[in-house]
Amino acid sequence: MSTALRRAAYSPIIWDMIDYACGLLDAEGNLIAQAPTIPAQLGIMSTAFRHIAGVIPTLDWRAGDIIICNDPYAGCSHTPDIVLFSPILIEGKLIAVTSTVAHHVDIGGPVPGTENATALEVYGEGLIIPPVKLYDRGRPDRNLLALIARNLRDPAATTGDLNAQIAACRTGERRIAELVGKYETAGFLARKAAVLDHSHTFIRATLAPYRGKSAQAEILIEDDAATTAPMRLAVRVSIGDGSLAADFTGTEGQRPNGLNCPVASTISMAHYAVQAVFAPDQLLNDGFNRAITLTLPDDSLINPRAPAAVSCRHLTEQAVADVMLKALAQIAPDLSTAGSQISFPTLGVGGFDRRHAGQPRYFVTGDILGGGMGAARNRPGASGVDCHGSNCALISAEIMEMTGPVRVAATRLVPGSGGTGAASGGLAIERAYEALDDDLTVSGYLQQIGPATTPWGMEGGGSGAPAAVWITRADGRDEPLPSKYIGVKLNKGDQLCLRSARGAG
Amino acid sequence: MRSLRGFRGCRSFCRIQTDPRPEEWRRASTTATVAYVGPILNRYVTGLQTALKGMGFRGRFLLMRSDGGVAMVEAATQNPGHMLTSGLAGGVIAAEALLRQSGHKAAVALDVGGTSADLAAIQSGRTGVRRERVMDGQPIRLPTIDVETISNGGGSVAWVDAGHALRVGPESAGSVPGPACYALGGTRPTVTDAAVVLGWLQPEDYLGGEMTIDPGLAHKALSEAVALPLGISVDEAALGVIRIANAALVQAVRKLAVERGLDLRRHLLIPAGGAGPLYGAMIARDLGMAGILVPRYPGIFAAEGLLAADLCHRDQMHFHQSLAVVPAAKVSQGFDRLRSRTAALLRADGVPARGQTFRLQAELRHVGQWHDLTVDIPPRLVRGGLDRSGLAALFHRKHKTLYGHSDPAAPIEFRSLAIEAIGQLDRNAPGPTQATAPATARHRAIILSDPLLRERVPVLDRAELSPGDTRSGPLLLPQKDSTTVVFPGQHLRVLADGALWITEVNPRPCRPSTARSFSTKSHRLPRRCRPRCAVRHIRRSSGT
Repeated sequence: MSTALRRAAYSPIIWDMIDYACGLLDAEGNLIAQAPTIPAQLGIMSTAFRHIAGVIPTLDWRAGDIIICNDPYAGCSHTPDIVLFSPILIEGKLIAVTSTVAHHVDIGGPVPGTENATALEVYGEGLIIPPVKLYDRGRPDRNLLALIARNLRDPAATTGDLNAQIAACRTGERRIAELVGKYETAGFLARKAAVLDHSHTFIRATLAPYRGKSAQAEILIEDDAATTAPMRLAVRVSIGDGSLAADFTGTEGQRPNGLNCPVASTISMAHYAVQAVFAPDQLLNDGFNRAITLTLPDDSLINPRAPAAVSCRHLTEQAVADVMLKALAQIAPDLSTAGSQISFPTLGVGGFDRRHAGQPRYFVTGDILGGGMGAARNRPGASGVDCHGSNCALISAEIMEMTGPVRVAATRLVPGSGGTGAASGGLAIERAYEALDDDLTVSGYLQQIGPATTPWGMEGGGSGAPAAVWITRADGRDEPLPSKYIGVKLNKGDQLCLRSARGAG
Repeated sequence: MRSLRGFRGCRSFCRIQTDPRPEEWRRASTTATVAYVGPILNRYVTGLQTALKGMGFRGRFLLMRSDGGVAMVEAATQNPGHMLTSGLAGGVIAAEALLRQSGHKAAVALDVGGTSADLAAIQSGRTGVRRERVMDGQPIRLPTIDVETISNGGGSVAWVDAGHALRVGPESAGSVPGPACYALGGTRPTVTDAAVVLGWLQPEDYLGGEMTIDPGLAHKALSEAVALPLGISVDEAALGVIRIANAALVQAVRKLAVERGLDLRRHLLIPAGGAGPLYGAMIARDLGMAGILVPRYPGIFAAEGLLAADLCHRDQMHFHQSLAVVPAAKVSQGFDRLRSRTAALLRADGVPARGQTFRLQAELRHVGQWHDLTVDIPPRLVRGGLDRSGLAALFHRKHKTLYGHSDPAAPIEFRSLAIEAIGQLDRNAPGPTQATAPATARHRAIILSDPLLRERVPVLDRAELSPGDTRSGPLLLPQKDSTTVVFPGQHLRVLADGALWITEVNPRPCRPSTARSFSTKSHRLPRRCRPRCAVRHIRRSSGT
């Protein structure tokens, strides 16, 4: 399924950045298997399934149906992540469901790319698609497709990527039909149950040595969109008899910005953290998740009430993983690392390219920086990696220069302060982008820019070094920028400098 | 210059020469890798050359390169990076040659050794060359033959995980200590041990009797590490190990096919390596492939490939031009330059003009896209004027095969021009094989598919078969370098060159099912849903 989706996809966000996921669920919505593409989409499918099945009961799912949804308040993530389900029926009975989630380049709203940290409500985050049938018994709903296409900036890309998602669902349907042909329905269902039981047995066995342990953790991340006061995430993790409970009571209430983390994304990253520590080589499914109980306070940053905005939830989502890992590091220090960078520095540049003959051409380009991973007991943290949820690569300086009048003046690993310890934290990346023309507009986000938010040290190790963003004007003046910088102008010779955080020691 | 003191005698490598395309990090990584391994490789090659001379060797000393061609020592050491993955190329060249002899065009070559399995897709008789591969996390942008590798081989270790599931690999026992049955100190059960327990491998004539293996040790290792912890019989454990190893290979072949847009029903499987022919019949059956071609000597197949390779020089130049407006002369001049440069190299190798052939290629992409497609260009499209629409059609067709869609309205640009210059080498064709003795079948009780059932299966020494012979499965065919397993329901014929041609007697049976399948090519879908016989969509979807 995963290969089929990637092969047929239209946008680089899918085939280069691999921002998509494919999975298989049983008739009750338990995740049987998910292709290991992007951790940030690990918990979405089963959460969305429960909401969707509440709106369209599974009894009404027919062979050939494709159900679509992107509603953060119906178990999906942020609006650009479109979730599809397709049922597999054998002799009229639902036996499994395929699902794909893909990040689409744009789903409408006030800004290109939809993501907007200053959005006040989800209604400012583009088109919201409730659970509906995009295909009914193999027949597409053309009215719905036309309505969706008219609300996006790049309908060709979205249509192409939706087709790739549908192709992946159909591939899953065919392959499951093959398996049922080989093992009969009862054999297939028995094997499905065995897969879930195996994962459950595995995680129970892995948690056993830590039984009875518990730990609390708290971290802060910047807001800088609604107010300058930082946001607090807190969790208490307790290990029971082959089970793990994480209680996020103490996490702050939701805010009027786009940084709230919808519940499906919170679940994704909490599960990611448990997997990263206890079962990094295992395939994730709901047999594994059965051992995990989450308590998420209502109306909070990590379980917001509609219509709170959520489009920039990836910053908060990284923090969910981080605070979980901070608690787990106390429970299982042998399997953990110190705090990693979740600074997630991003850059978007737009303007006119007048370097070629003819009319000036409008261009848009961007970048994401990795940073330092936290150190493990006997191993230094990796340098310049995009940790946890996203796992993206730097854009080539030459490609960026070809795309628009922006020159990457420097790319370097940042040596020096922070991340000290018996094993040191990984190094941050710093990049300087120089405007080669006047009137370029830059926007972007990052976090972990102050001493209160830098990566945390473990077992006496030093905390990491903070991330930063600033402009060095053509005349040499430095201008600091806030962690959410939006619509800043650059003229010829100005440099925007972006630095990620260093991992802790 | 001071910083270079102490490096006297070292060779420098220039980024533009090793890899002339944009994207600074990939280029730098390529050059650094070449500079790192280059001196070591070159020292080795020069030493070998001297030693050969000292031994009185008067022939032509050629080196295999990663792109499937061979090169003279001087050319090979010029850019040692071209030898990095040459080990993978031999098996593919041999598979191409075998396929050519059989009169078929499309196959998947599968070489299963002790620790890893290599897979390659052969289309129209040739395997693609890819321009980049990632080795140990580092991108290397040099042409290498398009081979995928997974860690799965006869030495892969079987173990039981914390969730009580049987797992195979990725850890391998290698050749030392090797499988438990080798009695070299290995105690962990491997895939080879499982094959011994099932009876697929014969203790009495393993490696033609040159090596003794101890089935008792295989039994003991599987019993302790797998059967006892899981509460199953040793036979069940052994069959489980083989099935898991087989499933990993099936998945690898399927992924290879999906990524390249292949229809496996039209492909043969060419299993090689010591362990390939053990699984070939099982894999081809699982995937519904068109047939199996087992080489005469699977264990030394890759080495045979070295002898079948031709001299090859590649060259390319950065060429960033719009297809719609580039002057035709610029394209032909570019290719002329590449051609005269590589022709000179072939002449220096001693290849006369009549033995030289050239394949033109261009890297093309949609304007605004980051990814290039390499398109083979028939010379008529660039000779005497540029056939722009012909080139565009080739690009769109390839785009459609690889990505499932194409956009004929979107403008195309050149990214680089490239050439493959082949110098044909004279070589002796292998003679026909002769049976050593009349075929007399022994029998052996082995487990093929049901752990509770040992079947009496005929065992026939491979050397006892003559061209034209036919047999029906089940059948075991041991030989010194490998063992071929033929399953019940499969039919075998010996080809003129001694290779085995195995097919299903009854192609995959039709299983009734009420599952329906829906076409998904685009939103322009059929008005009504179309129920299909399950078997039709199983066939349609082979490999996806």
